Amino acid sequence: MNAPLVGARIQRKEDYRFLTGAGQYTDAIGAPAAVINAITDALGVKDVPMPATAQTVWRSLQTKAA
Amino acid sequence: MHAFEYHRPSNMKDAVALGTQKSDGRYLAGGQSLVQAMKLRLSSPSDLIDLAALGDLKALSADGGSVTIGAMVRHADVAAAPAVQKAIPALAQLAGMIGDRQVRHMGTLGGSLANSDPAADYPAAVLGLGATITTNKRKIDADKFFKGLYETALEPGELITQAAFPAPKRAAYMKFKNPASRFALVGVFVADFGGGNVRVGVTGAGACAFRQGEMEKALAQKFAPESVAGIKVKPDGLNNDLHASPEYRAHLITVMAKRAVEAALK
Repeated sequence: MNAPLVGARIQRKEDYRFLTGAGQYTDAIGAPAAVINAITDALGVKDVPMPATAQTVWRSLQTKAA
Repeated sequence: MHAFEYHRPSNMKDAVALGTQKSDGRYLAGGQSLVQAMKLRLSSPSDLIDLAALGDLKALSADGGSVTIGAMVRHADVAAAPAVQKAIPALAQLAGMIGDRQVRHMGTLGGSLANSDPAADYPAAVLGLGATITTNKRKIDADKFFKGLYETALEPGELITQAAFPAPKRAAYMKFKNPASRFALVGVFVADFGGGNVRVGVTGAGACAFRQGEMEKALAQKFAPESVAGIKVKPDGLNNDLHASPEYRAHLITVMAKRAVEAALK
């Protein structure tokens, strides 16, 4: 057992991209926008209010058809 | 939860006697709606009459033409019963779709019917199949049972003992679930008994379950998804809440009916 290592401190390395939210380190920030973009693209509308529930999507389609 | 007296009668006669005497008493079946309502203090009965010891209400049987289910039979048992799966597979499927696993192992047929929650699943099958509900006093026709929001033809103290579901030629139930509660935003039960006798029961959409006559007529002419696809249901009087507007519910009735017919034909 390497018991002495448990809880041992490690040197923290900050990633500059993480700190600035650039690149692929932004997961949760980008996902909702990507989903909504996909929905607006599929529906051919400019915007869909969040949360994009089944009813919201249906309503968008109705408004567009009208 | 407010204080209440708990009774556990061992036979039907005592249960009904208690139910009739205690003016503010309630029968306790599976407790999946009543106990929740009591915890929220929406309901505060003076007495709870637990039906768990009434073995007669737990019978389930099927003969060639129908399935008879006791009031205290739990949803999970209906879903898993080979007799139901064989005679009316759509009914077994419906029971297996109710709520979540916990609800299905506690909730009962009788409790669901007596409560007449606007979004409960069983009422759609009762109307869709034209079931007969038996109480300690009489037999009630499905069409005369559901009266309104949480309102049924049951009189004070009257106790459901069983429901008999006629077996159709083909049938299916489709529901659009509320993703959180799994209650039906709209559920449609379609049953074809042959010879132009088609019934369509809708739940979740109105104050209580109801039949959709226009679709029944169209399906009696031709039992195919395209028969109902063009039917526009009027949103007047349908439920309006956080989850769906009357217009959306009206739209969902047509979509679910279409899917149910497709499923019944498979």
